[in-house]
Amino acid sequence: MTTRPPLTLFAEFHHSGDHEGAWRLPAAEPARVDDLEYYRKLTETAARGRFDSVFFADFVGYDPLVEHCVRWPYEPTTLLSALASSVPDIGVVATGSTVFDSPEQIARKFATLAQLSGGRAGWNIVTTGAPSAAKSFGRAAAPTHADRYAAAHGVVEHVEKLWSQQWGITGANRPLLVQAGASDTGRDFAARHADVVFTATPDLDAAVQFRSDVRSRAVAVGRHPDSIRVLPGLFVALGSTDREARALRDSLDAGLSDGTVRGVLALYGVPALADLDAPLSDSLGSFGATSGITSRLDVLERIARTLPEPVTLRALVKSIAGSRGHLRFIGTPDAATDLIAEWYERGAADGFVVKFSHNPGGTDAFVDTVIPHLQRRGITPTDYRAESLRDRLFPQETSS
Amino acid sequence: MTAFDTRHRLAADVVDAGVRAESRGESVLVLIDHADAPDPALVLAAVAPRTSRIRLVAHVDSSATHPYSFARKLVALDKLSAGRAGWYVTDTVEARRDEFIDLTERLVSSWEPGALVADKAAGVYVDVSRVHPVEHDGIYWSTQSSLDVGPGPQGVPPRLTEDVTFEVIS
Repeated sequence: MTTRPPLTLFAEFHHSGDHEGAWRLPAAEPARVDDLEYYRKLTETAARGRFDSVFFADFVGYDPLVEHCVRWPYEPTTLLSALASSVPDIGVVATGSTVFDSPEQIARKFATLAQLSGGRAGWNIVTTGAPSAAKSFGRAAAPTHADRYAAAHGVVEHVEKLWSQQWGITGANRPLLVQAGASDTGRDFAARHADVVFTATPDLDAAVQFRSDVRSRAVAVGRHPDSIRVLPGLFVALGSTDREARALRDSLDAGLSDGTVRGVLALYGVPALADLDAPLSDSLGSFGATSGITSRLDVLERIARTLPEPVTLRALVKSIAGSRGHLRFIGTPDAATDLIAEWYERGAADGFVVKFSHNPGGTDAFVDTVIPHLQRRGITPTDYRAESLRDRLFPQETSS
Repeated sequence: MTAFDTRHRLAADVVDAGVRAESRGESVLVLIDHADAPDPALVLAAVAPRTSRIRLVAHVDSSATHPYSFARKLVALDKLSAGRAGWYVTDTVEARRDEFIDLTERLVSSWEPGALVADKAAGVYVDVSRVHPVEHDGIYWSTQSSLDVGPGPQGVPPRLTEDVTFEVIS
């Protein structure tokens, strides 16, 4: 039995699974994208596996990629309000942007979710750089990376003050603050404000380094290092044998149309007319990094260097499909358990944001075949021991 | 109709009151939009799975909300409630209220019903020829984007046009 606190597990839900080709699998139900019952069932499955929280991301603004694959079909705080009302115990974390809502609107949304859920809410703080979001709100462009982070500090502090002074939400009922931003500015932001940090660190050493760095930065601003938990994303495609898992991966990749491939690349600033099958002779940086997701391009470059030559854009997308630069596992439940346990024991992670290859099916597979192994090893809990999400993640915390 | 002034009330208590309203036979529930009140669309979304008939009407003060943000929550509420959502707009400035209503309606109807084809074989998720751009450069708001989601069961949900008196939950 380990003496470290158990792993924190978040279940990230995209409707048909994280893989962009998943909606085309025979068992997928993409027409049920509006159906509360669909999401409720997924959430109940995650709760059965004692996931600490579900997580719904969000991107505002029309995305033409929706022609080829499922995008963000639901304003997440509205959906999570309905889910919190239907499914007990499990946390409810949603993305909210600091750029397009006022601090009062943000504070009210998450205060309401905190009240509705009995202290199970969390806010994944994003600073929106996407041009599509800017266009939705009638702005010519989103603020630059540096500007929006600079502003975000003030927004978060203002929101926290409103929660306490206007909404009377204190202590364990305060929404969990989550943040994902691996740049230098992002890590400083996390160190100052975040309880939980999401990260895309696909290899063990990078993950150990990232976690250690974030903890050091937290200490530098007067926090206990254990007051910040680092959760790498983990894309999981399971099979009872390696061959079966690879067959699942192949069937998912078969769902990647050219349109999807181009759409995914466009998110990283790769021009639409780039030849998908030509060898990548220049570095990815030559396409010109957008201010959108600065640090993800570095992750892509690192991945490109690990692929067998000749690397093509198509091959790059195949390797990141679903995982988007996050740690990716394709294999058996035993091997998945070993990987998770290794990362946990080596200090690479305080937990994971699990990204399921496909749904329906992917979450059930993980809960039925991986969770029991983790529970037997004492790495994840068998019961919900605390009502509030904060108490669940930080059981020793008395106040802060 | 029952219209609650929920200022300084706990969201969970408002949900309970909403569920009781349906049990009493009320057919419409309206929740106020105010800086001191829980977010009405979110509270109504929590009422939705615990009710089946009562209509769930979100009040919106258009002086404090961007139509794009509101439209996303309105269609979400419509989907979550299987087509029971409604909206009610007020503003001290009539021109702003009118612009809000117009832009919200245009955004909610920017996807034709049936635009979401989910054709697995062809790899077409949304027929984008049935998504229409919304270009609006108004006095109070601008947008250059269609809504990012399709409408719910009601298309543009009905907007309450009668005057509403909000009462404190007893």
